[in-house]
Amino acid sequence: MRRVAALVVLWAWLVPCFAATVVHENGVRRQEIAIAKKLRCTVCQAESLAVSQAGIARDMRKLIRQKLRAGETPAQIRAYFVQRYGDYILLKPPFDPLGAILWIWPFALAAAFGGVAVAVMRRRARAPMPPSAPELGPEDQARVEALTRQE
Amino acid sequence: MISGVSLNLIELGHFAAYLAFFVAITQALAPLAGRVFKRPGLRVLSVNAAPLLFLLTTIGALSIVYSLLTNNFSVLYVVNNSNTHLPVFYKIAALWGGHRGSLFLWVWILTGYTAAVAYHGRSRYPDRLAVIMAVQGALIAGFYGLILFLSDPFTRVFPIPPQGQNMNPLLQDPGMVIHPPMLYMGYVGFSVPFAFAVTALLTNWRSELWIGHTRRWALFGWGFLTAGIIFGAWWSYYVLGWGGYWGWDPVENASFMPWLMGTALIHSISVQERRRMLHTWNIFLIITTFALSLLGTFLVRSGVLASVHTFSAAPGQGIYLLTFMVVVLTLAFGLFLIKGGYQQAEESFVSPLSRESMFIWNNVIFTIACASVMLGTLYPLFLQAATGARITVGPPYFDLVMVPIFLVMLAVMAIGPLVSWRKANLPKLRGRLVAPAIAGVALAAVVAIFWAPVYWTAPVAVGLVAFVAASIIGNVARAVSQRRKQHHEGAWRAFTSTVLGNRRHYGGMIVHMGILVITIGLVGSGLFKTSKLVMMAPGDVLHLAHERVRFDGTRNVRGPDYNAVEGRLTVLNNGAKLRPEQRVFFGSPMKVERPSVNSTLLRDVYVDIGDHQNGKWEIHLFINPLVNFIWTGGGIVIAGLAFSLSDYARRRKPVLAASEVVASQS
Repeated sequence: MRRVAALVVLWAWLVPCFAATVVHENGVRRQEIAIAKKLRCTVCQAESLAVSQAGIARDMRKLIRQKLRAGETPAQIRAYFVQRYGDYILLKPPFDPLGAILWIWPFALAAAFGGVAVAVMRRRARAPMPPSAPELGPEDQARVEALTRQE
Repeated sequence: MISGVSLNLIELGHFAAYLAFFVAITQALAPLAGRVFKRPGLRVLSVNAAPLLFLLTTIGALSIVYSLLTNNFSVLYVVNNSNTHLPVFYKIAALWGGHRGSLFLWVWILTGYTAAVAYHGRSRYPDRLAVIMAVQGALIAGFYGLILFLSDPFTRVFPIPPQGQNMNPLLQDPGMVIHPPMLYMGYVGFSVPFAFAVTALLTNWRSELWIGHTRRWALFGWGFLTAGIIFGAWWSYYVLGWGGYWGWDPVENASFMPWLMGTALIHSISVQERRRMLHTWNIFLIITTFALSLLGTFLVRSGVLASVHTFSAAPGQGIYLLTFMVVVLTLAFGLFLIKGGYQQAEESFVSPLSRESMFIWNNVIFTIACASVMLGTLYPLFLQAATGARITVGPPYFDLVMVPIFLVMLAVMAIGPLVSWRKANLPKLRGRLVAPAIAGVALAAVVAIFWAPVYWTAPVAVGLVAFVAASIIGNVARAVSQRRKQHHEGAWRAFTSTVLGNRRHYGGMIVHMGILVITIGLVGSGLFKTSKLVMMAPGDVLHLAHERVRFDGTRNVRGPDYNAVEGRLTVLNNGAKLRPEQRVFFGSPMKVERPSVNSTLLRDVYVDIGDHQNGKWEIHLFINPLVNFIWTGGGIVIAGLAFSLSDYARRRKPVLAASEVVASQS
């Protein structure tokens, strides 16, 4: 009985440890994919490391995994890749002097176009246009009228 | 295999292509010559050239197809893109499987459209037809110049090789057979509105007389472009084996940009038809849409971008295409700047909250979307050319930028059709929006609670989808009940007569419903997909997202022009068999992974097989939820479009009888 109790205690003590390693390993995988999704495969066209089947992508994923196991943070790993390959490796361009325009552009456009649209609509709404004289020739006019009658 | 007949036929095609080049130049210049020499009769040349051009180009295309079918390896294009093992199906498709042939397909479709316009316009707009033809002729001549002098698919080779190279293995798929012609039908389709707009600018053609025709041609092209993009996504999903369907690849963006502007265009034209405003803006949109089609062709065909679409192209072709594009667009936009205001709006905005203002917001949003995609696609190229710095603009950027834009678009889509023209009745509008808003919030809450507390986009998108759907249903229900009161009809009869009576509007609503279905598919597969890459030995079972997949082993199989290792897997949940392959094509060192998919309404089990090591195989398993919604939604969009256009076929006859010239119908 005692032995069983001891075993139970041992089991209860050990299980969380195993569980922890399992959870940890799953976490590493998840983090690895999360990091790989944001880096590009250097030999492919517009593919991330997470989906690429190229050999180098596989090796780079392995490297990410090793670094995660060694306790590096995702930010450190990303910094390592940027240092080695430059900004080119980042699928999401950074907000620096070269990349900033990419991030400002949509907002600037939204402001500009939205502003123009509002301004035009307001101006037109305020000053209703005089009805323009029909510029159709008499012949065209007759045709249009014939058509209108048809419908 | 090489018979004397086939040798002669390819030269016949080559001769026809040269003839076509000169006919196109004649077509482009005839109206001008008629003006200069005061001989208006010369204009007829332009119109009559159209069917002749189509005939000549068809002869050229058929001679290439015939050479491919008969393995005529004295033709360089056949040597480079086909061999004796290639199945007949792909031999025909090889016409657009290589760079040179696909350019020929481009011009073939262009001449087809030109002939169709000539036929369509002979009774409807005969007075301007010659100028329209001349604009088309100039485009055709430009492309023929490229084909004949820089990228000639009729080039012969000597000595004649005994066997050809293989077609790019990735392209050997039924999806690829359909995708390029569809996409080109879309790209090139926008050349017709372009020719109309340029003609209108040149000849002060009143908008009312042509915008209605333009709308139908634009819708036609838009439908093909939509179908082409969806087939492209489909192909990417079922062939490329990366588990996704859209990667914001520059080439995908190249087709997406004209789609975005084309979508803005087909909405904006309605405003002009109903409210006689935005004339100038519509002409600008038409030119821009075609400009983006040309840009797309340039990006894909010049070798500026490297991807599966970019067949190796000589640098001269890129320069030619770029020059051609710059000349065409400079002339078109220059003409627009000089004469764009030839016709002023005839009516004004009554209220900032009206159907027309909602259409303008639609235009604003689509333009922003297009410009954002454009910058993301071109900026890395510019940066590298200017400073040598290399950056990547990939899916995370586009997702971040485009998703909010798309969500705003959905909101406008829900409210727009409920707002009345001229001036909205606010209390009425509010009343109409209450139920859809409640439906949207309720569904968003359900999604937020049960599925995705992680992604804010999922509940918001689903809520908006419900909002739009409820507003469309409410809209139809109101129209039906009104009709029942007025005509004392039964529910079903009232419904059919309402919907059939205004096909244009309800066709558009069906298209909107299709977009909603696609949105659900995008949300499901974009946010909730899971994947696992593992080494498996035969007998192993892999668990992923409630699915259990057993690896049963492998088998060697042989296709018509490849050897393959076929993985054998079973989805234990429903017993479906999966057969992913790793193919090695003859004459190609490339290993091509061909995924296998078990598809049900709610989820796809998608699997790739890779290399093996120590008796274990690399298996890449994806569970992609709701992917079928995307294809279904695409079908609904096309069906709605066809329904909308059927309105035209229905009305055509009485109008034709009434008059020779048709003004825009609404």
